[in-house]
Amino acid sequence: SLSHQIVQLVKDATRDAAVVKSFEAAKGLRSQRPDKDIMRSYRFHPSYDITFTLIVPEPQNVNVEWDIEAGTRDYLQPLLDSLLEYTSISVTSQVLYLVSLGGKPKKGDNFYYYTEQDLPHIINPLETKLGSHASNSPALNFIVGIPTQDRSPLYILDSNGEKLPSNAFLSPRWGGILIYNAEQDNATISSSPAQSIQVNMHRVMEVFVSQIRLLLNIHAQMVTKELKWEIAGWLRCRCVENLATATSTLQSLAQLLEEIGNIVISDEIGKEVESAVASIKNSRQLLASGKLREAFQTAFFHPSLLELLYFPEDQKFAIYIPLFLPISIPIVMSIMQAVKWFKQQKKAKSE
Amino acid sequence: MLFSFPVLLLEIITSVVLVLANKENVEEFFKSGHTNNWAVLVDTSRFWFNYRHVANVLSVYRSVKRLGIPDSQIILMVADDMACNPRNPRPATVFNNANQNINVYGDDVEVDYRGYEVTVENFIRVLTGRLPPSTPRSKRLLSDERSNILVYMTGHGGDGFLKFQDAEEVSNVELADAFEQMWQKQRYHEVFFMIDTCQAESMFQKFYSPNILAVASSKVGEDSLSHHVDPALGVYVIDRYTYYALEFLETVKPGSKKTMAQFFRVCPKDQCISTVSTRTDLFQRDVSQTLLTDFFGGERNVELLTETVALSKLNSTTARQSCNRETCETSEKKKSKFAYVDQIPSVLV
Repeated sequence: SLSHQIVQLVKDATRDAAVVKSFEAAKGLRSQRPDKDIMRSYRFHPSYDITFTLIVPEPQNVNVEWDIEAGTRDYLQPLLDSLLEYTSISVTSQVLYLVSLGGKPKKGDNFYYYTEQDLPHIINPLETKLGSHASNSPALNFIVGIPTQDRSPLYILDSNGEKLPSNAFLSPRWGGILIYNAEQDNATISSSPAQSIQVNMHRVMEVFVSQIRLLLNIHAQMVTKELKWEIAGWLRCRCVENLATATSTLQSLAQLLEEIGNIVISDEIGKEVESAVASIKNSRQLLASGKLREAFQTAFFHPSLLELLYFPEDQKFAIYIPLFLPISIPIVMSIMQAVKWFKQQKKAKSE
Repeated sequence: MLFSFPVLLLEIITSVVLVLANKENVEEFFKSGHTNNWAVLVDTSRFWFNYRHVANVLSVYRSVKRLGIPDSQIILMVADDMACNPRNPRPATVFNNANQNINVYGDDVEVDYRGYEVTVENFIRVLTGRLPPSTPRSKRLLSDERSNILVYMTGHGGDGFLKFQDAEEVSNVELADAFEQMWQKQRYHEVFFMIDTCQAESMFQKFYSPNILAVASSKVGEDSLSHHVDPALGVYVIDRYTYYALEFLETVKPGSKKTMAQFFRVCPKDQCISTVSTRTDLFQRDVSQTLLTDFFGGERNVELLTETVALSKLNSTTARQSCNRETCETSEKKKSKFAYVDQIPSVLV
């Protein structure tokens, strides 16, 4: 019926199902084989690092240039700006020379191709060459790979054996790789004096923005003006995720305190726990009344981690017995003597 | 959110109708339940006569790197420096075999915790993630709830403890609690715990967190023995269990289908002299269906990108190229020009 369909559409737009999944995942209810949405997207973090890499395997034959700054400014900046209030995303880029895509592409009619099974073996060798990040934020890596001249053009075939229109794939919680065939991708090619390729940033950024949206858990298919609905859906998911993480951390803390009675907890931690509980209550109220932005700020809480001073029972014995046993022997002996003396005194008195 | 509901409702209906028209089966699963692999490799003994423990851990490091785990996801803790030890007749090399087949030290080894930094406190802090904020990224275990972690420990151990640096020890209860804290903070998906010391079985007896698979080189009451001595060095170069485990791992290539059950059968009693024992009750999957590369290698799941977002084409590059020869030059001149100051000020002349 029409009303049923409209309800379905609204639920899809506000990402009802995704919110439930985020909550369950953050709570720690894990099945062995969760679905792709949960495994693919990064958990919330106050900052992310995005790195764009261009791989040029034969710089001696082909001169490749890309205007990545303009590309990110035009196509990616709107998304980053709308997320700026909640998480800061830093973007860096690099070009790697004399590195090739690897793997063993098979030969088709007059092209070369990878199947889906070949793709995991491409990522690992490239990952080691990307360089390590210096910050603690989760890193998203996006690579544009130019195929070598003797293996060109290079496509990815899907399970039906057809060429994938985007020619790109992503790895959950890592990033994505796009194989860029210059002739097919409307690049500007000039042949004099040496072959030179100007990478078409529109095509490249379309692919990467889709992958970024998938990896950050923003609604992949729906693009609205100024991204309002996507950000609303994203906020909903992240809010719920943060709430679930905070509550489960506090729960495990309480469990720990019950089990280990003589743990030492500083006042600082106590204050943080109190503020956490207050924040959780506050944000639940705000969520219920629909104020997403405020609810998000209060839900985001890092429970600080406490020092575990741990005294198991048998170690207690090991520490205290060598101290007290030698002292206690003469004390016990003299107590016995004192008791005997008192008894004698009593006997002497009564006689 | 204050925006006009009907207008946006119309917007979403149109876009979502288009989407629902060619919606694919999104409810598929990835091949494996983990998205990344980490390895924590610990050598706990120092002094020249414990050369074999350093060779053990470096050999496992080499295998793990070869099978695909990048350096940024390996935490290598080596308690003493054998390669540059004054007693090493072959400086800057560490061999795990008397016939010097492989230099396991190599030229791209990255040791994260070295020398006196390998302490029980640092080890537990790395596992639980409670490091001071100034700790660099390479010294942190940044795993999440979808990480498979390989923990390899070697050194001198006893019933219920493992000796660190000849000065302190970590008990099996502490280790079990550390893993439980990792589970509570959702810092791992599955852990494979491998330990090559004397009475190694005692170290995993107290584990109680789910999804841990463990193998030890000897039972409680048995000693783990070393394999052979290198006459030129004068010390034993490798332990038996690690030697045979490496023999097995050298036959494994990235993408191999060998299972953990096969790995557990490595080093039977006639080769190892001690009894290799395992713990599989906490592990939820079937060991004969679990791939070795789930822990030792770094094969990632992939997903083909079937739909891309359509972005309107913008051309800010034309703005940059819009100044031609004359205008570019004048815009350059507008910036203040700097010049050198005269050596001898003109005032004095």
